[in-house]
Amino acid sequence: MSEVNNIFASVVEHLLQGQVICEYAYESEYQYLDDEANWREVDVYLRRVDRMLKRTLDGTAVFAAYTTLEFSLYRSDVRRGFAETINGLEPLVRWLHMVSSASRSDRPVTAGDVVRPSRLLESIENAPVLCEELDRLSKTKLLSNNQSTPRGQLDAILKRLADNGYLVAKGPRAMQYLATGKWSRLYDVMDFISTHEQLDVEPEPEQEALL
Amino acid sequence: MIGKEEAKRLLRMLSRHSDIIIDAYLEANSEIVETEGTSRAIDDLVAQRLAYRPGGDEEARLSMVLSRLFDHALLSAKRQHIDVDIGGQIRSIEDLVNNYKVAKKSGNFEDAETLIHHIDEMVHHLAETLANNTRQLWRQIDSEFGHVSSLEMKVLENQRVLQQAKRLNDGLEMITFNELNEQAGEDRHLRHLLVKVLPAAMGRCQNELADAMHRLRDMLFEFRRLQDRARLVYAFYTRYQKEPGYQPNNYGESIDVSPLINQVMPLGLRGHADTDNDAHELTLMQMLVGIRKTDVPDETTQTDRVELDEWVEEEPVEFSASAVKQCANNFYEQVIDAGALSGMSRYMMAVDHCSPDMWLHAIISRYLTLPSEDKALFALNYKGVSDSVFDGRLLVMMLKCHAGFNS
Repeated sequence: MSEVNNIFASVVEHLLQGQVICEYAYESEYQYLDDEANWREVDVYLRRVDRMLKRTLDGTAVFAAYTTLEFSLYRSDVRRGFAETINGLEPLVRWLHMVSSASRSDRPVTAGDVVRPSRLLESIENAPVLCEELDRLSKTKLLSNNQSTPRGQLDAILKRLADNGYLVAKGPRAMQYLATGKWSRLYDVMDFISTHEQLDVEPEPEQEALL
Repeated sequence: MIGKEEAKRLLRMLSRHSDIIIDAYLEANSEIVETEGTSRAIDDLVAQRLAYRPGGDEEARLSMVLSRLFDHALLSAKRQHIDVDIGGQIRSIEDLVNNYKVAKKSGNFEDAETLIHHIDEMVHHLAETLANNTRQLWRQIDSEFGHVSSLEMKVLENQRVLQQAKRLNDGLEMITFNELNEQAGEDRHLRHLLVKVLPAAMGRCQNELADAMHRLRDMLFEFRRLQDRARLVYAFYTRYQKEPGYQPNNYGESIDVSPLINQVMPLGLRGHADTDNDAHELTLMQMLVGIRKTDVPDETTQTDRVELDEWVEEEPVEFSASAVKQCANNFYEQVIDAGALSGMSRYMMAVDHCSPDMWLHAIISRYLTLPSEDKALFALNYKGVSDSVFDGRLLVMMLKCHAGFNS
């Protein structure tokens, strides 16, 4: 729940602060934007300050983009934002891959997915490769932590992901997390990069073979 | 009533071997391992064509008729079969209808009665088949093909079911209302079955099918999107594995920035406190109280230098304390006469060279030093702003004194 009573103000504020609004992260704001009239109202408002509403390609999340990139200030912002994304990309990709391997599922984490730390930990602790990956993730800038046990590292990493808007904690003592629409935005950017970097996007081999 | 006795014997036999049959159905994928305890049951079931021995080393198996009976009764997830071949059933109905008409025309009413009974049974059976098919479709959709785990298999299962739904839909489109109407002619029974019951069942099925196919296409799209994302993650992962330190180019640096990477950077949004707004006074006061609770900075640690406006040393001005006190006393006397006065409205009463700040300070100081009984006669109201550098210091901008309290 937002602390701001004025939902319009809350929506605009979140968007201008670069946050990604989705059903799971900012539910009231997302529902507000679901109404076409509200969407238009917010979009018109943002356009007066050279911003506009945009949806992720899967339609699950909303964020603000610049209406024009003619000004060097905005171009510089986009450049900085993209630099931040590519700097944090490796740990995010490794985390996604680790979760897939741990859950023995070829389904990547998607907005609305439930992440259960206890279940994840159980799988990680049973696979030394995944423990090593967890340790490696803990040493990255984005997910850095000083924990030494898999449990401590996993908890810290999940918390860092929540701080960065990729997960929201649910239940007392973060018993579980919900994946947010920020992953959709990341997949869109990854798709863009893979096309331009000509990455070899081939079907993944069976999970068992990796463990 | 030979048929009735046979049916009863069959049910008794099934009851006698129920444990073996249920174990085979639920736990052994319809296989019955032949042992001393089961061979009698297998013989009985085979005799009734409810089980068969495939031969060789293979174990006996329950026949499909029996498995289907359990699938039906238990609404089993195994029941994924959709009977798309409704053409055969329609043809059987048509044949029976023709025979019924012949029997009726030739005055053979007993046969006609038997045949119309069969037609009734077949039409209702077809209606039930159609309803089952759509139920089955929705069950698979709702479970998101939960009987298979990998995305690839879900895509294949989705495609298979979509194909079945299309075939069923095509089959239904082949049967037109006009044809059924023509077949029924003027016969009351036939009209009820072919013009009322069957078209209603077909209509319901077609509506459900349209929704189901729409949903299946959406699901297929979503499964493929997930597959693409999984491949994307894997592609990046292998690149990072093969090429440590790999970093994509910053495409934000290109002259023609793609709209796909266009996203705003956070704007620091802050508003200032509206100190002239009475409605905010209480909240702001509470915030000030909070500020006082913060720890006093450790004097040994060096903090950032506070930038102050350039200070111009002013000539010190000296006042006689009694003169200032007298001016303030005069001010309070005038307040009693006037009822209320703002401090600055009597600035001219101040001693020479006294600045407005000092004048207001003199009024407040005098008020604070008044004997309590005198102090009770007045009320001082002032508005001010917090000092932007030194927390807890209030700069008084406006002062007003009211008289008549406690009088």
